[in-house]
Amino acid sequence: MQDSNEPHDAAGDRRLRWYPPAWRARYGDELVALLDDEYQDRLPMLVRLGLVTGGLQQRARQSGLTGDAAPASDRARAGALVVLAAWSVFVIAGASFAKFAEHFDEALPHRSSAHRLPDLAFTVLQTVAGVASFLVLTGALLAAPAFVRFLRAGGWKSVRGHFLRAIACTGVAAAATGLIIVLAHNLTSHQRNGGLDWYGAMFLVWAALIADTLMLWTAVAVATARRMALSTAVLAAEAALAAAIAGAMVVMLGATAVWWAEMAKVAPRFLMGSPGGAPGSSWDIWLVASVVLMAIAMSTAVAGAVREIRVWAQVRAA
Amino acid sequence: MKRSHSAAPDLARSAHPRRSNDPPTLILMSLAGGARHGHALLKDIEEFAGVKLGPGALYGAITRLEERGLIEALDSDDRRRPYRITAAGSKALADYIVQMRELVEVGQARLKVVRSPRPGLA
Repeated sequence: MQDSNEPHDAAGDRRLRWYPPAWRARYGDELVALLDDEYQDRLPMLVRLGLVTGGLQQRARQSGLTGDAAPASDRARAGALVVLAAWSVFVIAGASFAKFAEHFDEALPHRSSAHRLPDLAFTVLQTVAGVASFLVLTGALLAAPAFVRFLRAGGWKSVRGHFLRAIACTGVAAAATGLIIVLAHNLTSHQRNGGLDWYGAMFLVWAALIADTLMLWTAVAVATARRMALSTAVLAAEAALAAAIAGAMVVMLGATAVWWAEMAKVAPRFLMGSPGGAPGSSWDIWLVASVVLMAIAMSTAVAGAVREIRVWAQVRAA
Repeated sequence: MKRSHSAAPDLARSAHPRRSNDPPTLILMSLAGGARHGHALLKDIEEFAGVKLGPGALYGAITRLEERGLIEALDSDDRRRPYRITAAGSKALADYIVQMRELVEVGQARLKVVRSPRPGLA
């Protein structure tokens, strides 16, 4: 136990490591004093858990993700960044779904009416995915001038770690992509699609690397965007784009559901035929996992979009 | 019964409890009895409400209450910084107590109806 007047480095106290630095600077000393008074050196597990959740809540509040303590612009920005992060997860889940649905049209009966709805749903999915990707790119371009100003003002130091991790992972993913292309070139279609266990394992590692790279670049975008000074006009445009992207995700998930339901009706063998599926079931584990992940990402994006729309409503009302 | 909202501004409403062991309300009630630091708050709340708040929950609530101007920190050379309730905090607590009293009265009145013997059934 520490003396009440003994200087203490609360900022470096490991018990408070989940709290944001600004919060630790303001409340750290007194919270550490309380912990010393109440528990000495042995913190019960529940108290530790309370400090973890308390710290995460303060981080969420400070970044504008929750509560109304942060300025309105920060809260709107946080909402848009939630949409961006959710979009990255949606892309990963969508890619997994696309791999599952590969060549689905070959499994459809020759009747033209049987093709109509699954084809239409898949086309809607692909088209809206393209539009949403374009919107993400537009958002990045809109923020580019602010990004240049951020770098010129010496902001590089604060995001260097994020960038270096993303660049390193991109290098490894690029090398893995080259390797898998060379290997796939010498294999038959059957060997590439489940016929060779070692190739299947390599493909999964490669897919994990690509997903990791995407998430690391998303972390770069989030970390940078949180620190950049964006004008109100750019912020409003980003918020509108984020809302549109969240809407696109709703449409895409709807199209996926329609595709799944129609395939179960007109070509159930396609859904049953994959290695992960239980015999006779349209609920293939791979497909279910992909769609559930898409649904979680979509829900998160909608929550982010709703938050930013509410914040803009408050800003306008004020 | 209509709830009284007129005297409860947004600042105060956010400190109103949804449960009887709502940390912001317990802190306001404790500080209504005098300025206290974190550890003294924990002990006082445990004594008068029988609720043992965790340090994370206590300081989460202190942060919100201070941001909303319902409590304020006092100067201290000690690591244990005391807090006191502000005028806005006193008003928010008083509004809450009025609302709770109204609910208690309704509850008591209805309990009397249930407990009193009904004519013809005795």
